[in-house]
Amino acid sequence: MRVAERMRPGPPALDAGESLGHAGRLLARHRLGALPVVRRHALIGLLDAADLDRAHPSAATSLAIGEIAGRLDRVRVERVLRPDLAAVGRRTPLVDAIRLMRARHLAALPVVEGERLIGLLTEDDLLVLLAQLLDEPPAP
Amino acid sequence: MKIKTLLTRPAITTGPATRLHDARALMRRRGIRNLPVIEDGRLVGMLAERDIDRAETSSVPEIATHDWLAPLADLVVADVMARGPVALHPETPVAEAARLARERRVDAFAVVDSDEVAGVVTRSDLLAVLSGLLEPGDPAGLGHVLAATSLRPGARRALGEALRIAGAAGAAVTALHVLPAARRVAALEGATGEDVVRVERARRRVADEATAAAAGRAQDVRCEVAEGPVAREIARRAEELDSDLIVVGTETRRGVLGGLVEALADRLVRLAPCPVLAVPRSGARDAGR
Repeated sequence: MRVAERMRPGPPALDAGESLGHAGRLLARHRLGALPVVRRHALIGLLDAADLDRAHPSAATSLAIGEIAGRLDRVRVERVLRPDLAAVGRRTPLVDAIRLMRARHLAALPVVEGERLIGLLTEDDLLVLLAQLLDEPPAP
Repeated sequence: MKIKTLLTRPAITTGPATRLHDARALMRRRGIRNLPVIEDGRLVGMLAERDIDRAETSSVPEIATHDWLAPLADLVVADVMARGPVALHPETPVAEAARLARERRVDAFAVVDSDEVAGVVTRSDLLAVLSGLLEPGDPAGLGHVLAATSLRPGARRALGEALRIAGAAGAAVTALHVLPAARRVAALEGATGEDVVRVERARRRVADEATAAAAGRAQDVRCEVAEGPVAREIARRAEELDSDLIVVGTETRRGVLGGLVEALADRLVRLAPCPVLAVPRSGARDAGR
């Protein structure tokens, strides 16, 4: 089975200049653990919920609850992006993509064609596949 | 298939009054990201590494500057753990766990048998089951990592990262440098003495780089030199070696795009039989850190 059979085509993406606040809202809206980050339509990174947790004000912050959202709305996504970037092609075997996601703790894996983002392989979609395969009656 | 088949080791747990510092040290030491929290023998919560990250100083300096004091100093597990975690019974079908993980957005389940915590099952464990179903008999982890190096100063970080990933996964590593000239490989018939010297010199440099990148860790790295169009040669070798991952250095952090080396990563993803990890020369972020 290839990546193309299980990826979400035309996935949502964040622009590098958008804010962390926006990123958090987009992750929640799409129920995703990670979002591809693009600059001029070219893939430059992957932002996950843990990146947002690391950027979040600490337990010892003097910021009032009401101030926190405003602060996160003023920080650009590209400032907390981790430098390394993993990607797969649409023809990559699914099993290789899963190995990489496990080794790197990636909640999603961008699928590219050249520099262009064409899809997203998500942990959730793989869990759906797992449930389907396990529920299938065994072959006669 | 039942959840109990995934419980391979005794549960590592913590208590609600444990200092967050200590809980984090335990996670790092054992290489785990989730700890069931036990009080009087019963499961009362789940502590994730992410809960600690959220309580810890912000990675953004202008937010971190609002901290009163070291944030974790006075915190205990109960302050940040998730209460009322989703627990599974050892007899729960794996398919049911997969559905629950998605619907309830759970990263790790505590597995509980008559009030006793029997272990933890993570999303990663569930994905390992999927690997096994897709390719029965194949190991669920990485078996071989191909580290392509340009031998330029900035490429060492990528090589180090490849060694680290392979080391953690118990995978074999091959470090490969491709001489970009479209000339015959020395091993082929008709190679001149000059070709042999050139290739041998490159191979020694690959070995030196691998030693430097390993930074003192004893790790067996196979070093190779090939000759030809760079992306095509790397992809061809990955195919032959049945690599599960190609790690390649990039000059900047424009991701897989930009100058010559980034264009290489772009072409690689297209040609490679496996995923490609692009590692920029500097781990620093663009700004702010």
